[in-house]
Amino acid sequence: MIDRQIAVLLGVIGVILVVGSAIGEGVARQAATPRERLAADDLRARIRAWWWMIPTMVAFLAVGRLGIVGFFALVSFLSLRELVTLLPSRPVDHTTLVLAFFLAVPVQYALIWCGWTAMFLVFVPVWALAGVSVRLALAGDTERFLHRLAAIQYVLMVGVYCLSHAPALLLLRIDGYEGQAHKLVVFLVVVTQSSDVLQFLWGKALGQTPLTPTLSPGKTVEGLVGGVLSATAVGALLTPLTPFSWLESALLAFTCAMAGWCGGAVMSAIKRDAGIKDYGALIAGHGGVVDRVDSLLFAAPVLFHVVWWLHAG
Amino acid sequence: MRAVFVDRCGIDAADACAPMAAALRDGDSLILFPEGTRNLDPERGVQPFKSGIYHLASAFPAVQVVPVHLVNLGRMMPKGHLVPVPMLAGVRFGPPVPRLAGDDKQRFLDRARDALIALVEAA
Repeated sequence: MIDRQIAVLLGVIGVILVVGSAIGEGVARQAATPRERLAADDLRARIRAWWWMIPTMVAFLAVGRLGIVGFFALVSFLSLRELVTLLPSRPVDHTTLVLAFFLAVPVQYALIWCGWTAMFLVFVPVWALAGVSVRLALAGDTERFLHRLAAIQYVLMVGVYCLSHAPALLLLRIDGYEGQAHKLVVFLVVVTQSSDVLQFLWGKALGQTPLTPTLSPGKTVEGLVGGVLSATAVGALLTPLTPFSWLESALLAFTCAMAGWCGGAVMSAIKRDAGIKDYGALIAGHGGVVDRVDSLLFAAPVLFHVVWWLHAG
Repeated sequence: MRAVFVDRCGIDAADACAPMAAALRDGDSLILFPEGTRNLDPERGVQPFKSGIYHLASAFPAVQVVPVHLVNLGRMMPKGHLVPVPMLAGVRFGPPVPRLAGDDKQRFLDRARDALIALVEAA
């Protein structure tokens, strides 16, 4: 799974991380005021997290198909923990929630692992929907029934169904690209995550015009435009990983970056509603797992379906 | 678990407290659940405190009474279930409950309970 192309990509990412870490240390040394020091510490924590997140992802990638599916199953499980914590659940919802963690997550990813495309596409929207609805109704407590039902189904859709489209890229059959679909997963992850980082950097450097003041005050027009355009360029540079022309790669990267931005906006709205700043504290500098993968949640299904329409017939 | 068993059916509060007092005398810390039982309806809030904590606090003036809130534990594992929902949980500590001159039982218990309520509401 780690061939020459991926090795080169990892080398480039490694160099960027070393340079980024050096810049982070420099910023920290120059910080004079307590506020600057706080910002520098945050920046260093963000960069340091990549030093363990990237090796972790590479280790799972090296295992192959099972590693990729397992990695996203794990991320789904961890995301679901953070999302379920925010639910307006009542004690009678307990069994339904236990089944969401210990039945829905394993089944969804097992379907992808064994390649049952038709079933993985309907398992959560059809079968889990029916199961959750009936289980909750029969539990007997109808207080705020629609709220509780809708919220459970929503976190399953986002945390399990949407995210599972990332490893599901392995199921796409593209002529002349047999056995290489794992590189599409790498493409998706690298594009969306670099889009996040680049939006952050462009926003810090040039950010003036607030884009969504009620959602996340940090998001600016300059950050969005700069980040999405440079992520598009990253996508064009990643063309050798894909079965696409460079123009197509760039357009798909643009689509992923835009969908990713939308994911960040939606997941921020949920945070504002719950009155929290971060989903969790598992990734120092970034917050929770959902804070890190919010862009992926929306970019993964979009990339999956666009590539399917265009190439996999 | 190093648990101290308390006779919940006993009549005499001092008797019920004896095993806990023994633990404190041995220099151990004591984790006390002053509501005396699990809360079946989270919306009912913190239940009234049993008086054991007052008797122990009076008998051991040097021991600090620190309010602790187990965040989300009731949602994670409601009474009667075997499998926890692996949601995020946490432990929050408040400042020690002060003992004032002229405290009687009810005033101390109210102040201790208010300290816990303040901790719950800050979460």
